[in-house]
Amino acid sequence: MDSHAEHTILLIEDDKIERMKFHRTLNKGGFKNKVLEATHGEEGLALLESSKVLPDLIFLDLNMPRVSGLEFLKAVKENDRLKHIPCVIITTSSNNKDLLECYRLGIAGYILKPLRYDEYVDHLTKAIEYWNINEIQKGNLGLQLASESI
Amino acid sequence: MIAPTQKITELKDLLAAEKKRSNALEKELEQYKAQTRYKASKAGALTEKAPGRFSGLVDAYLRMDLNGNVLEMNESAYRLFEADKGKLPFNVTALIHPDHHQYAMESYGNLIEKGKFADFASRIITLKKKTKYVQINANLIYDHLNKPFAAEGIIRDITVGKHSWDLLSAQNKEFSYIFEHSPLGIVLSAESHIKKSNKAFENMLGYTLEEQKELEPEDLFFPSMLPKVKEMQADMEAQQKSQIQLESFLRRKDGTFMKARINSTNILAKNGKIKHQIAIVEDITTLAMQTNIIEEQKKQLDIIVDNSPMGIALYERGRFSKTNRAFQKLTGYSEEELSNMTFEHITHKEDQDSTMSHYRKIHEGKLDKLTMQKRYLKKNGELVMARTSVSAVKDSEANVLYQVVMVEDVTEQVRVEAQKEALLDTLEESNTQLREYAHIVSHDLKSPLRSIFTLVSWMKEDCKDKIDESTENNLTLIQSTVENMEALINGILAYSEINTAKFASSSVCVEEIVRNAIDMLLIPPHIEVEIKSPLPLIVGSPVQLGQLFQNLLSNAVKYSDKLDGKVSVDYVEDPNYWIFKVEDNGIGISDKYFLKIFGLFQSLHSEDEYRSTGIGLAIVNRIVELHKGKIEVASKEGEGSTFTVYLKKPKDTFV
Repeated sequence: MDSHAEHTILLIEDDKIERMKFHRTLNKGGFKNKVLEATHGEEGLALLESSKVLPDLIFLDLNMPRVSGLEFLKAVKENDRLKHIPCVIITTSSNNKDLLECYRLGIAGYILKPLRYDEYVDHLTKAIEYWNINEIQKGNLGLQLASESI
Repeated sequence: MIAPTQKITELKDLLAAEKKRSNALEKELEQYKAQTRYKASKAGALTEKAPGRFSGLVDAYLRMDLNGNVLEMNESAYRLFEADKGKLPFNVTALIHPDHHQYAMESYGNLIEKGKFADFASRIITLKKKTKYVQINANLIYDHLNKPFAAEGIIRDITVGKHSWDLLSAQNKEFSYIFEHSPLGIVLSAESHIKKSNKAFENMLGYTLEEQKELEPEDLFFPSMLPKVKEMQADMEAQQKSQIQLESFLRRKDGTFMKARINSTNILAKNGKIKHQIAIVEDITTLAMQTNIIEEQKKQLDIIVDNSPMGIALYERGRFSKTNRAFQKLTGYSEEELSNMTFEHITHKEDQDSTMSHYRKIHEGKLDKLTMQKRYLKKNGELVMARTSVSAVKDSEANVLYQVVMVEDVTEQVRVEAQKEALLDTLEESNTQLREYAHIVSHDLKSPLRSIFTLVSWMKEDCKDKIDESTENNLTLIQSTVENMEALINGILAYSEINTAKFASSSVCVEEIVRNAIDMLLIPPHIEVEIKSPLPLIVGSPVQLGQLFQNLLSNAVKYSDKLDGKVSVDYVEDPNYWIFKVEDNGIGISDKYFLKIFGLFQSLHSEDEYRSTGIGLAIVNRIVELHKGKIEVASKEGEGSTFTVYLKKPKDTFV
């Protein structure tokens, strides 16, 4: 794992304690991943548009104020510069309708937030470990693809 | 039937009269001959101017010499032989028909020898070459020396009579054949008694002719008909009527009755009095029965048509030629008004074009039947929505005779249907909203629980060395309370899902569902779960049936208190139900709670005994209800429980 340059993760989550859980799990697990944060979809989109270096991976909550997870996902998938970034949903919603809509728009995973903290740690650790062994195209893949086609 | 019979009688009478007349004439001739002989003997010779009295005879009179040369003829003879007045004399041999030459010569020989012959019948050929039948009576005339010098005779034309006889005998044969073989009964009667009848009549009543002759009208006619029969008979007797027709029941010999149509005619004798009556009897029992049945059916049909709640009309030549009450009520017009109206008159303006184009297709034979829903304009201006079906009735050559129109008022039905649809839409919408609402609420309730749980976990983690055991226990209690609360929220969500989600029915493999449910349960090693018999393929909601078995099986596992826990699933079926049994050897349920356990939030145990939200069996019960089934529980406390689920088979099961 050390040989890997850990992926930069963008966490979009409105609940402060959820964000704390995410950080604490990563710290406890000894993960070196850099974590960017946004508290709702609107903030997440603004962050993506303003940053020169894009995150490698997005963890996304669904139920959020202002711009919901689904709306954020839709905007990302419609944006040529962003659409390649894998998005993993981490949510309370077991609503089948949400699940179907997410997969329709294009997601890389759908994790239900368990009630118990130990279960949460277990699930999230596995997910991060999984993504850390994945090769992900670094940098502005979208821009690169666009320039290549010119 | 009657005319030929009459003719026979007439001809017979005619012949008898002729015979009588002929006899009279012969007598006269005899007298004359005697006179002549006397005169001849007196006068010595007969002069050429012979007695003029024969010239007045109706029959032909001829005198000839012994060589056959005609000496004298009267007017009738001229007519008979078709001779011209100036043609005399001619020889009678010229008149002899070639076939009768020999016979004529023999007869002539007889005349010479015996002096006369009588009733010589022969054919002759007239001078105008016409064949006639004649009958001749002749004698010789003698001079004063008693020597024959001439012959005279009376020749009667029997051509007509001969024909009649031939005809008669032929007809007689025909008539007797018809009489005997006619399927109609033929009865000759006089003075109200049968004199003669044919076989058919005998067969109809079962009486022999001899027995029939003894019958009185009372024996034969249905009592209620007797007065009428007697009255008609009296009319006949009085000759006020020469012919009657009546229909009556006749009593057979065996006491049963037949219905007969009787035609009776007076046959009059020459003197104008009634000789007898001839009756033609037709057995119309079957016909009467059929007519009765047809009339009865027609009556029934009329009743049905008239009382039908559906409007029925016959549309003929562009007019409603016949309508029933429902049709009149639907349109508001009377039958008479409708008989002068077309479809156009009673159709709402906007539907007129389509109606008339449809109607034309039927009328032109392009369509046999069509159904449309259209608006009618009532007499009072109201609109009626009615389902209309028009079918053409054609003759054998496929020409449209008329159309049968059936109209059903669906105004109310259409209104109710629209209402129902709107209601369903509203219900669907509110169900969707409710489902969304349940999800949002559950999310908003679950998030804080998760936070509490996490924070408590951190407290325990971070202050591991600073808190004592009882505080740690309390923190754990907080966590388990939070867990209960989450289970409750999940239960409510599941329960509301069942009521608000659309019931999607499909073919379900219960075996697979039960195995999945078993796999998903955390089953302690001391509990054995067994599927006792192969589980069927049924029709239902796969999601709901999955929930049903999950709940029943998790209960069976959860409430196990034995060291060798046993849970089993079994299946039987009856004609109406698929029947599943989930049995355990767990703690059991007291029978006083049998009803209570299926209610929402009904839990029998305190938190520290068994963790329960009281929603599981409520969900099971609801799912069973939605599958039009029922659930039963049998249990003994301490020994175990058996839940029996009945799921209704669809009427036309395809499984």
